[in-house]
Amino acid sequence: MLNLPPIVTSGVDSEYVLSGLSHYLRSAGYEVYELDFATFHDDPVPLLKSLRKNAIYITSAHTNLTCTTANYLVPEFPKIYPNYLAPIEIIPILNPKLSIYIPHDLLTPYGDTNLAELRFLDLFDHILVPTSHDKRILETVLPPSTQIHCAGWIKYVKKDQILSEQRTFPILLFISMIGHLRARYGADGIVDYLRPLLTPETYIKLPAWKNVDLIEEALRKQTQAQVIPSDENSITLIQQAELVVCNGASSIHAEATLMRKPTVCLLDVEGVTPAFQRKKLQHLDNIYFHDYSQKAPIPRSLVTQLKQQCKKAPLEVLQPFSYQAVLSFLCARENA
Amino acid sequence: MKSLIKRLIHRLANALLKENDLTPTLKCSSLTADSFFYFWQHVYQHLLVWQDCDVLLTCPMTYSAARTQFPDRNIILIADVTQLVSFYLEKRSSKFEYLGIFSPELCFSLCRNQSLLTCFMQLCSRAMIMITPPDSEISTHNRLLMLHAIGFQQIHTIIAENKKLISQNYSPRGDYFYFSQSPELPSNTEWGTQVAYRMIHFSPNTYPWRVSHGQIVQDENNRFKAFSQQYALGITSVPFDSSALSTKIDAEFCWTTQSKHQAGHASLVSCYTGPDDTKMYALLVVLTHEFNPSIHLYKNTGDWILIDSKILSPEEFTSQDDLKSVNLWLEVSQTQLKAGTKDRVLLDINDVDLPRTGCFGIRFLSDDIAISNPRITVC
Repeated sequence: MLNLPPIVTSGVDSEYVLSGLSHYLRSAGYEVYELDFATFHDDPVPLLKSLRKNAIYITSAHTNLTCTTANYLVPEFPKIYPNYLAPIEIIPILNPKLSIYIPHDLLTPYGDTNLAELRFLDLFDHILVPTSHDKRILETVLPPSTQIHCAGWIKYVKKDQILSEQRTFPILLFISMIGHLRARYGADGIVDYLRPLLTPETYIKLPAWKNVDLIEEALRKQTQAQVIPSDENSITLIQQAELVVCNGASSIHAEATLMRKPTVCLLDVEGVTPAFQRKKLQHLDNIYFHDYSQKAPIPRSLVTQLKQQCKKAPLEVLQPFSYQAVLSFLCARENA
Repeated sequence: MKSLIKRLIHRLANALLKENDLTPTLKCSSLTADSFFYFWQHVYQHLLVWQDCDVLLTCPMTYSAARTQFPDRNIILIADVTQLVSFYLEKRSSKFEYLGIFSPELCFSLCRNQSLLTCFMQLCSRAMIMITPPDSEISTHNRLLMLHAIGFQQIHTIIAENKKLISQNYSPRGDYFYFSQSPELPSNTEWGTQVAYRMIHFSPNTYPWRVSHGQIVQDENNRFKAFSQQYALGITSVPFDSSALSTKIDAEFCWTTQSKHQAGHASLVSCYTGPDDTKMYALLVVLTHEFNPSIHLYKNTGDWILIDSKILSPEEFTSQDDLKSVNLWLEVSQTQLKAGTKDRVLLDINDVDLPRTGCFGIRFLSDDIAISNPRITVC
């Protein structure tokens, strides 16, 4: 048997989407070091140095979002994750044999305009993109030294692999931009902000960010909505939803529409403008925009109508992620 | 077959040149006979920087010297821009850890064409090393802005042993902050070497000044100031422990009578914790009065709060022709803030709202007031 190289994965909180893949690679015999900076509180540098030149590096983190850059964009970030290292900090220390990038956000897989991550994606050997459309885009802007592969959506795990119990969520409400809402309203204020939506048939899931359990607790105490733990897989939940609702302009919108679920975007001026939300989501054709600026609940008739409506199918339906694809790169490299 | 591929590459190169409006001959307007000597002087002082290069691209002027100095390196002679593009097209599936552009003319040509420079950047997995010719057309700032915008995350600019600068990108527009031995951004009047890293190369802990916003420049009289209508903040740290009784920063503030109606200001900064332009005490000098500038002591605890202010009387500052100057200091003890000129205390206030730190700075809006000789004392 070949002496398998160690694997280092990195990301943070809900942007770390590699735990399933790590589990799979471990079962294939690899030693995997997971740097989810939400739970990894040590200094990562000694570990990275000890694995220097030997390891394979897989990341789902924003390539160039260092703590110093975050200081300008999201000042809370370095305070919450003081030991965080971005891929452009990890790669020079680790000097990996092979590097793989897997995006964590389906709406802006290669970073938003405030980071322009495309400038740095050629630093990876392989990029595993969710759709063939993404593959075509990246192949036009990146040099041939970076190989682009269509491997499906990382958060989408095959049903038979994960679903232990079949549930149905009449309305599934996801919350994005939690950092903004928390800074603006606090836990109780968020509950008040969302209250018109929190009917007994609504299931709410917060993103897996640090200390969201305080908001979950407030939701449980003060509303009739069902709170789903933040660490549950969003794609699995979407699969079981009859209607998906989300604020902001989020990966959830893209995931739900590409999975042909009726999807509602709540329009408001929280962090982004309604015009910005519409613009960012304009390419998704299975989405309904609901004005939430006056905190109006979603009319029951609309919920019924959206559920019954059979919208035009998107051009490409989301595919489950192929863990096997990663394994095949690793094996090919070891056999080379 | 080989010659067919070569011809094809040559045709592609010509097409790319045409598309980018490039002339095929190398041009470097700054390379006069006088500057030739200084170029080689600079290169020989910093030969070690080039040792890591996997490949050195040279022009006819530098080819022989490169062969002599780096006998074990891969030296490529590029005679014109067509060959430069051909080199890229041949190697575009490869990655070099360090790519050296060992020629002022090649650097000049690359920096005049952003798309070609981006192509060459994508050939590097670690860094591109370049010569920076004195250039009247592109300022140091604009050059850094352009390099950061295309995808170089950290750039080390070496002008001379005592003029080094590390800049780090934080926005897609190419905005950067910089670390240096002195707060000013070097001018582009001397030969320099730039090591442009794709990633974070190292934390520049040994550089005492960090300019987190804008650019600070030094004039011919060694006075620091910002650009017109621009904001700049440079900070520096000294060893400090909480048992220190007091810290003091003092400096000379200068302005001319021509600038007295401008809205600019300059400040001494103490107890800075940041980030950005927040959390500090600032002793600000403003030219708001006809002849007498005023000092304003502010604290920033998230928002700016005016603590106290005073108009300086004419005897506080000196005049020489149209140049006025005043030496000001800001002292922070465990419970008090004091500010004044020379031995005179002008402001004396109790304030404990900000933690005491060993982090000081100079802060500017516009170029109306310059600061020289900032000095820091910890007692």
